[in-house]
Amino acid sequence: MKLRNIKWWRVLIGVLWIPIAAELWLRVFAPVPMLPRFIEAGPHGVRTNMPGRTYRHQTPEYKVEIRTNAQGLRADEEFDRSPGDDTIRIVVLGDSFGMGYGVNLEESSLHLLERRLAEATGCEVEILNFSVSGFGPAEQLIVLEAEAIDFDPDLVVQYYFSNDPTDDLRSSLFRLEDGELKRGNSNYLPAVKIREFLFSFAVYRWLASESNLYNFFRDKAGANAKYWLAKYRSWARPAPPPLPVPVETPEAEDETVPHLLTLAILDRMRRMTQDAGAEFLILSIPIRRARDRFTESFPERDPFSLPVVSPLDRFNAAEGRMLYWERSHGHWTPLGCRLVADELADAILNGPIGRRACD
Amino acid sequence: MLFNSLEFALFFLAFFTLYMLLRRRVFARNLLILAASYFFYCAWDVRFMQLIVVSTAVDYAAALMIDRGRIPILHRLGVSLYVVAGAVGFVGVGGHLLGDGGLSSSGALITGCVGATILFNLAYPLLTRLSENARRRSVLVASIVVNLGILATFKYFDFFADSFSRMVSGVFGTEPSDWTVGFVLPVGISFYTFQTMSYSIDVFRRKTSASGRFVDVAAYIAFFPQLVAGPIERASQLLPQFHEVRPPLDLDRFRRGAWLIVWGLFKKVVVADNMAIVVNATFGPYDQGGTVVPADGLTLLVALYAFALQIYGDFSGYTDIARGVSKLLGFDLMRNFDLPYFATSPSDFWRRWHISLSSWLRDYLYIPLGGNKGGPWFTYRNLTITMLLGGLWHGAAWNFVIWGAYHGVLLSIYRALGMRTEEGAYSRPVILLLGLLMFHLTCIGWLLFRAQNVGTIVVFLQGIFLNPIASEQTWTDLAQVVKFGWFLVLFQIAQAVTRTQDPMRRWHWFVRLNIWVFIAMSLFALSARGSQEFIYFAF
Repeated sequence: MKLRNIKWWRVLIGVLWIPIAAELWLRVFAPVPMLPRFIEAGPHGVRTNMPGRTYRHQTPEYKVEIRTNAQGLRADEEFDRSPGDDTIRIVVLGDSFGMGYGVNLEESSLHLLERRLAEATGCEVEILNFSVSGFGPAEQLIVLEAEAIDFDPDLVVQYYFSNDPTDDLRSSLFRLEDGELKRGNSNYLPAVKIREFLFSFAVYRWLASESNLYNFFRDKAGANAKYWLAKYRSWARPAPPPLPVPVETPEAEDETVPHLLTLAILDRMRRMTQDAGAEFLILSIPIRRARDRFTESFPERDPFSLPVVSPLDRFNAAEGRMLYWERSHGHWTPLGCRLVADELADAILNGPIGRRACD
Repeated sequence: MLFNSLEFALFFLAFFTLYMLLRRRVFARNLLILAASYFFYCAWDVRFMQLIVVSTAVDYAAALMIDRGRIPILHRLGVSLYVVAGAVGFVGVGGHLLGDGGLSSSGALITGCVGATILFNLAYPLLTRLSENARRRSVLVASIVVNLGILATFKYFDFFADSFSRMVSGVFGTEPSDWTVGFVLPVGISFYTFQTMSYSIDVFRRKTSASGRFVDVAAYIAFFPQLVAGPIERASQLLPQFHEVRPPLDLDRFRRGAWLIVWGLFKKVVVADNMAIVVNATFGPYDQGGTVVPADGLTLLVALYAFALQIYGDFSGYTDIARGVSKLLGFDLMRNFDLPYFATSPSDFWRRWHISLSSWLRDYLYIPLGGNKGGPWFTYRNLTITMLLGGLWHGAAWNFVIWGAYHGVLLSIYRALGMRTEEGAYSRPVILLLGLLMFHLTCIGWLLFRAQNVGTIVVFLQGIFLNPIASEQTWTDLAQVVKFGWFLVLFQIAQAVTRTQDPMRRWHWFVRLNIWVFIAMSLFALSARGSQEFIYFAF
């Protein structure tokens, strides 16, 4: 067979048809979760949600709409810097769990929490959700410091997940020096410029929201890039330098060590919150081991004695009902959100906010 | 270095680039193939490389002695140096990797290799003085003894030592002694040993002539696409291909080679590895010693179906990749599978399953035993012995022996019943029924093959025959089997109907294009997580 014998019109049709056939194949045999992240560079050197966007997340298990307000928060209204007199204002810092991926706004843990608190206290409750998918506590601290604290909250809630320490190490926004938390890099904007560029095209936005094929290969490429980067790092730096241990307890030298940076960041968050006259609470997001088995994500040994609340008991008591989506990046189902909201509401109502009463 | 790994892809890419540069220079090309094959094998286990070196030297020398009665002095010296250098290199490196214990056994092996080489050179003048008949026979026997000796030592010594010890303790009521040595099974030893043996035997039978080109013979024995899991190639079919410049890689050859590789990968990573998940989940508790007969016996049957697809996808997938890789290099390997689950009788099955082994057993064991000459009882005896040893070839364990004996008995029963296998002997519905019966008999055979203890066999048979009930788990498992197996089955039906290995050639180009897309997307999206080793590497 020689090149001149090739029927080029077939090649042309083939090139055009292959992506269509591949897209159809994925839709029939292996639908891909399509969770586009509309993220851009924020004013403080970290990422932020693109303001005023409405987009869809589609997976084989659900289809939800994500809306951001003009401030880049997942909400349908805008918020003034100062809350009203009879208003309980809560600032939430988190990642995709805090953002409420996997559910519509009305089913999200924060929306349900808002309703529960309003019913219990009679006050108007405003939850300002500063969560951004992919955020670690280091980025959250920067946002709190530069922006969120100015909204005069009564309470700051941080959603803690097991990948937070890795995120903080990767971002290098903070470091520990002789037990002291010091600022590291001035910004952390991974692939944000290229994302902003790509999202400026309507075709790309459509692909990210609607194409199984695009999302499939993007997920594969992302996973492979992370794998090879980790492999390269372990090859280039076989033994990472141990983190300084700020607390002189022998126990702190084992499994707590990798978490120390994150715990120090969370402690800074707490102190800043308390200095502003607000309360601080950490929600520990349980790790799903099986549909009916969960473990704690917050480290057992915490030298800072941070205030943590966990829905672990409620999750374990759910008798195997589906609390996390199982084929869609593992965020909470509406039932999971409800249990989280109940846990948070109970914890908040047991504190000073619970003693507040409005007309 | 698994075929379905990035390491192999990089290795092959580098090798293929050099290969294309040297393609027209036969000696340099074969030297490159030999070096690449040894590298490929060393990537598995450098310690056992010397076994291939010894087998190669023995059969190269044996074939020349049988065929020509003499080996030129330079060839003798070259082969002797090759064995000694291999011993110092491979055994030394392997021993070093093992530490002190390995080093001491390496010393013994190097001494043994040097001693054997000296002994051969001393015995050579005596061999040349023997009569032709005596020389041919004695050299063939020596070659077989060395090859089977290596195989028996590394593969079967521990098994027979342990079985004998248990038997003695059973007879005399004593505690069983541990007479095992703890040999590690060298990868692919059964495949390349049978291949080298067939070379000497075929030369002895004058079916092929001995080659005086050492590098060609060594490359034929160690040819990396088929080194560790076959097909077991005959010298008369493959060795001549090493003597000549192979055809260039034109578009047609590329398409056929690429299709075999992609189709083989599909069988392995989409079909076999996903079936393994169902199989391991069902067999797992029984592998650990569980004895509870489940209420839903049909789940066990589904697991057997899954295993039938797993072992077929795994082994035939490997063969297809080996054939595809060889085709890209211009070499043609034999077809090792011919729609085995479409067989209508045991003899038909063995004409279709692992053809290179079954034809080897037929030519070098069944026929020398007397074949079907000598009356029905001799035939049954020969069939059973052949299949029993064929079972043992698969592994040093009693379940393989039982599996082999089971197939020997099946062959005998079908023969005794006078079941005809020629085309047109039965109507289509009868053929369909016979095919279904044979498939289920094969599945029972797979149970014997897969079970790790007798208890598992009993539980499965009790479950399937006494509790033929489906549960939610049965349907979940069946859905998995159908999800990952339907395309393979459908494609095989197309192969059977069109009576061709490559039915796509007759189909419209647009259909072919969509099948390529289907296979490629399946490989991307449906590959089981965590690649599993090929089952037949253990043999």
